[in-house]
Amino acid sequence: MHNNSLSLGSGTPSMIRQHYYSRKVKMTVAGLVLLVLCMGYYGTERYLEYSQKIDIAAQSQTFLDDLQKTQQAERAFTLKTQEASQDAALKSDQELTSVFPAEADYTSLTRLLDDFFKKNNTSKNPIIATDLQFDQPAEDDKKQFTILPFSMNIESSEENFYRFLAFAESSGTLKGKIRLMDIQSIQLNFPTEEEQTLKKSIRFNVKMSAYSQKNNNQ
Amino acid sequence: MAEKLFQFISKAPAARAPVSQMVSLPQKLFIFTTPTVKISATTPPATTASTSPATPSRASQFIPAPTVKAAAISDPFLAKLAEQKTDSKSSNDVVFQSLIKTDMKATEKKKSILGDLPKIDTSLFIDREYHLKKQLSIVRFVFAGLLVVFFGMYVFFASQLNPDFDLFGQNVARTLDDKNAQLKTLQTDVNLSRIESMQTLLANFAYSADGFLEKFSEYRAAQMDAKKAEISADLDSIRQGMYEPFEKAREKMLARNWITVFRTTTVSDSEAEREFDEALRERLRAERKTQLESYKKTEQTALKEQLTHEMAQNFELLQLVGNVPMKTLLQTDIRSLNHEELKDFIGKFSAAYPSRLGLIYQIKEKRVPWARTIREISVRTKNVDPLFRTGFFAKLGGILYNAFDFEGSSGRIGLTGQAKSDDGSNFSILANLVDELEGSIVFKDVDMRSFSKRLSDGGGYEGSFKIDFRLQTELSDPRDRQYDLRTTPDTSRATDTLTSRNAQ
Repeated sequence: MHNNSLSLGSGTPSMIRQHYYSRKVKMTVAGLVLLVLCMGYYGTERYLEYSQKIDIAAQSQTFLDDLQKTQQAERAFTLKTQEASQDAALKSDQELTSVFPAEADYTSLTRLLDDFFKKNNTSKNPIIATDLQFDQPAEDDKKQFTILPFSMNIESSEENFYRFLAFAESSGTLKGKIRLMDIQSIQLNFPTEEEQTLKKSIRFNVKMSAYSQKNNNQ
Repeated sequence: MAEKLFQFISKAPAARAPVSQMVSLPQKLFIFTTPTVKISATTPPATTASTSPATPSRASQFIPAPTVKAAAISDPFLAKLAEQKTDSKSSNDVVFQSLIKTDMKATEKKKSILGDLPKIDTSLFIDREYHLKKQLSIVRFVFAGLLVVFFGMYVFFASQLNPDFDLFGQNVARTLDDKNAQLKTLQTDVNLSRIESMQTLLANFAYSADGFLEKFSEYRAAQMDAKKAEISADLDSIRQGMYEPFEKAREKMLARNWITVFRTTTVSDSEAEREFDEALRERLRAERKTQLESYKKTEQTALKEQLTHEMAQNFELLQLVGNVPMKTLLQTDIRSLNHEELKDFIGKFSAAYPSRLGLIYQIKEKRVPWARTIREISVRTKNVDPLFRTGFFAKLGGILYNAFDFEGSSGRIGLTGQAKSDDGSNFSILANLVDELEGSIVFKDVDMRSFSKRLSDGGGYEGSFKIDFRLQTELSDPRDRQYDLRTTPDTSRATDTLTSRNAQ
């Protein structure tokens, strides 16, 4: 009201003042309508969100209770399964460790190879590894396991040559417990016919790979 | 201006000054005790000391009340005048009356012939203005009230819907966020339990599968039907142990691992699944981090071994999370597969789930069967030279190998040797050997472009050769079909080929 007396002097004609007040009323009513619309929109939106969240929060509690029960059941099943497989898992783990060890472990491999040659080397069917060299282990292309390359020079009878090939090819079976290996290349010199008649040995150089698990400790 | 007027009044006799001028002066100059000035309703109240002369008609409306307090007047002239007025009240009245009459007469003379100006009743205007002002006040009040309500509404919803707003304690949004976090954690716990049990079940399956593969290689190598039947029964027995863990693992893998109820936005099932898979991965990575830190800190060998084992388990679990190929494979009905199909299935299974057993299987599958390869060369050579490695090369000729060179990574094989014949057909023998090797489904790209021979000291012709070829990884090769041994009259060679094919 004070503003009116400031904006409208007492000398302002009455009609002008009426027009002024009338216009003011209209503008204020328009603003009021706009405000009501905004309030309606905002209030509705927020209320829907609010009520939705209230409902979901209530539902969530139900789901939480259900999930608690499911979790208990799943945990019980897991423990039961693991317990039932404990012996088999232990056995399997031991076999896996011997076949596919966690480390490159070239010393164990050396002993394994030496053991094979010792067992199969006879006077009639000789097999002797004259040279054994290990390279540095490296990961495969997909970085899933570790490869330990090594090479050997071997002199053996033909029979033991095939036995050696079978030894390498049968490696990696859990029951056999032989370290998983693979022959990468063979360079073999056959004896001459006279040498064959005299049961002379085959000399061959073999490049092989022994496999182990990827080092997960890094 | 007022001072000038005052001087003018003080110098001139009172009777000379027109009343209208006196009245129009500011009231503070006149010390009338009762300034009873009647103002017409149309006349706005005077706020300025206007010096414009009043019209006679206006002047005639004033009724002066000339009672002046002499004691309050300091001016001698005014004091004297006041005394004179007090003393001769009647004479002054007469003077004023005559002045008014004179003024009225002058006004009468100046009156328009049309009479007085019409008067407008502005009381109506005043009422309307009053009502408008009232309306404006009400509307403004309502507007202000609504603004306050709006602000209150905003504050309320902001306090309830913004999870960071915690001035009034925990609000709905925070409660919902907490519930969501609890749900997510709990669902991840459920998923972790499921994947752990699935890992155990799949390990059981893989262990049985390893036994199956070993037995299956025996089955494939067996020539006798009776032996095959015996091994097949063993295979069936092994298979029985594979079904249960596989089907239970399938149940765990296909179980719904996500929840959608807590969301206010629409999220597809696959997106929700990926989100929970990622949450599980995060959990496993966090566990692995803890294990790794413990591993680095500890010096105990036993604990190190245990942690190494746990980390390997953790790695395998990570391979299972969100493993789509594994999910697809687990939907296979393995009971309906025959031994050969099951063997292939195990290969796919190992590729999809690179557990330790899976990796072992993959490595074994890539190995070159060297013994069989060398035997295949021997068989193919015997087809060309039936006396191969019988000790008659020096006397009867044929083929003698001096050296083999096998390269597993490229599958390249090099053969060097000698060919000998009495009739000089060395080139034909070697050409037959090339075709024979190419016809094998084990070899391909057989290449020998240089042929040579010379007269042998012991009679006949002999010459050295070098053949290069590669291991055939494909199931079939155009030259295999082109050189189909089953169509040739030599039945022994056909039998060999078929045997070789069966062996594959």
